[in-house]
Amino acid sequence: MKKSLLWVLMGLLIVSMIATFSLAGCKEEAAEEEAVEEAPEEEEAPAEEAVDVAGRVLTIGGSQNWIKDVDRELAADFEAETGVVVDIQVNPDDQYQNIIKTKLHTGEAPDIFYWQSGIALKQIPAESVFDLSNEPWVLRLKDWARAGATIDGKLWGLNIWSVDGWAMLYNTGIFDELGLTPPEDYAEFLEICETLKSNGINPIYEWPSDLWHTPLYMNETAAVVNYNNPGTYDKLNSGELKFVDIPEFELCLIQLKELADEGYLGEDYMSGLWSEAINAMGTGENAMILVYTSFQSEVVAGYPEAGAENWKMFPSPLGFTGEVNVFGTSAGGVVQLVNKDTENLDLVRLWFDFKTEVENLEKFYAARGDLGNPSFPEVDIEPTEGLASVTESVDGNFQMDAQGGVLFFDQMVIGKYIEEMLVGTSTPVQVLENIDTDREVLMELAE
Amino acid sequence: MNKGKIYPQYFVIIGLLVYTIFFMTPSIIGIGYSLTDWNAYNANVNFIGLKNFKEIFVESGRYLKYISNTAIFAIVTTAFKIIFGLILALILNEAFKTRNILRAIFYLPVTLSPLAIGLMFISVFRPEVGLVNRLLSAVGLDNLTRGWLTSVKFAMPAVMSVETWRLTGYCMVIFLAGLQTIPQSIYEAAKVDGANYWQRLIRLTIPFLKPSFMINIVLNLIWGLKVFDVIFALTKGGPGDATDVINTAVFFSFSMGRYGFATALGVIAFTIAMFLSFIVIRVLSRREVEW
Repeated sequence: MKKSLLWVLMGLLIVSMIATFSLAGCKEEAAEEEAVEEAPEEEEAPAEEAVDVAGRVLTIGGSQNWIKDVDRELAADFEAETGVVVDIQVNPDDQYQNIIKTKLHTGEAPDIFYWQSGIALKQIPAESVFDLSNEPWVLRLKDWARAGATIDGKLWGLNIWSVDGWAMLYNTGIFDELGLTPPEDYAEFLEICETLKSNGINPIYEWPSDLWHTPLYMNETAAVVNYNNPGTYDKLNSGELKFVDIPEFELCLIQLKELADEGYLGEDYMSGLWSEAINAMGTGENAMILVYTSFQSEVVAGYPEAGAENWKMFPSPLGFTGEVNVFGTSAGGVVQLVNKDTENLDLVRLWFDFKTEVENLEKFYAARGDLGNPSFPEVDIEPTEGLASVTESVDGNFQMDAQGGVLFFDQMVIGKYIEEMLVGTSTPVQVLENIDTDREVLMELAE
Repeated sequence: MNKGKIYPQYFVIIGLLVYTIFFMTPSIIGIGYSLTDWNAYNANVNFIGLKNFKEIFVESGRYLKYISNTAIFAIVTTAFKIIFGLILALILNEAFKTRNILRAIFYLPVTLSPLAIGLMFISVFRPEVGLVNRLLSAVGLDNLTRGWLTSVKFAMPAVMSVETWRLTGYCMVIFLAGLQTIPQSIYEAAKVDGANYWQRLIRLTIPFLKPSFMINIVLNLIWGLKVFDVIFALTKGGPGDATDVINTAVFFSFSMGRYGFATALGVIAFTIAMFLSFIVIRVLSRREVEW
């Protein structure tokens, strides 16, 4: 009896496995057929058709802090104009990338999804993204906006964002009161931190446990290294050079640890949160923070009395003992990609045409005080004091940062390694070795 | 019911079919994928033998620590949940006015989302404004205040205490159900024989609760080995790797696009859970009390 039961069980198992693999095979074949059918669409943008789209749903996926009120307002305007329902799906910042990757893999991705521009786009399989090269708004894009969203000659995404970077924003009120001026080098930076600390002000607001932020110090260091040694990114991407081979990276981590150990990041910096950064700076409890150039506008909105509109920036001094004269910037912020498997390509086109109308672009950028340099030339925005000061500080020497230029610069994982170093369970060299090990494996897989 | 009645074997087919398709097949496919280099960057899935397992067990010491953290988490939380669950069940099995309300209150955390609990306890454990440190300060124990979730030494105990708090109510309910199946006449007989409370507890209650112990141990061990949400919400596996467990490693591997490797880690968690559950069931089944 037991034997017959065993046979029944084995039979069922085999049948179900065959069924599962057959279904998977069918899906692949179907996907291939769809791809063949869709291929001609990529050649040219079709003429607009007068099709009733009212009531249909367009899905858009974005990370929590990438989607703002103005996006919802524009979606509401679009709904009112076309009748298309815009479903904006927002995920937490630290999990967004994983969720989108998973959804792409399982065929559940939204019609449009936001992603970081530059080399980060290579994290998305090419076959999952629709080529937007022939869309009508492409020719209007600024060069950097087109370049940052182009992979292997194809435009992967619509850039309605800005080019920006991470620099040390400082509270000019506190600096003036204590007679401090921006540092020329790391030694001066330490002196400033000590003065601030001895006057009861926390020098730098930091939040390592959110993982994504501490790698940005290395991100800026990388830009300077690549500026001073052109081709460094290429060598890192080809495997010719490793992170551990670059002494500036090690020095950056040693200095970050030193800042933490000296108490310049605060007594309880490990419990810091990004969601409290505006509060931390607006209240005047902290004097400096490594942020993007428009962050001060958000502080102005939350703390109008703080005088944040006058705050200035200098490049992060970490990684060097001498003066830093380069500002590392992104490849163009966040771009909007189109899911190759979307069944709503007509709605996507309608939506992109709507968003790129000058009136709507102006509305978007006017509401997004955090975005400095618009990707469309028709919109003009006054730079923040932070951007103006850091630009002056580096004599206009901008360089694409590691996020934009280095393959597999995974902030979440690197942030974890840096957190281990900060709590004393690893060394700067071990952090770099861990990064190299991961990148080596990923490069091997990607070959 | 006629206990001697033998039902035909085909009665089992539907259940077996559902179980096979939805439980066994994915598990077997998962084991298959753990032997491949399935990843986010390459459409080809290549068979690589035991390379993923070699990396986990031989090449990188990191994952052995995660496995050890997982085992410690599962065993310690299971022990505490069972101890507190049993104590609560024994108290709330007595007849008093508020017992039903108290049963509901103690069970309440089970119904809450682990992520919501995680966010709540981040506030509770915050160094400056958290409830724990404020309570300690209020009773003059300032020297005991610390960053509970940011200390390498205390993060794991803090996370384990949250998991214990969350699921003690579940164990309590299982024990309460077990307690209510014990015939009162046995206790009365014991009392007549002069047995005190502790003797009745050790000699009668606990042996009769063996099936409840078995359910609680097996389920809590499995849940402990599968833990992810509470830890991720509270510490993301940090500070450093102090609270990293197998499933946080699965998450980070998956986020790096190493799907095959992440699956191998999942297979290890599955194997450990199967192995431990098998041992517990075998050991406790032999010693069940029958009446």
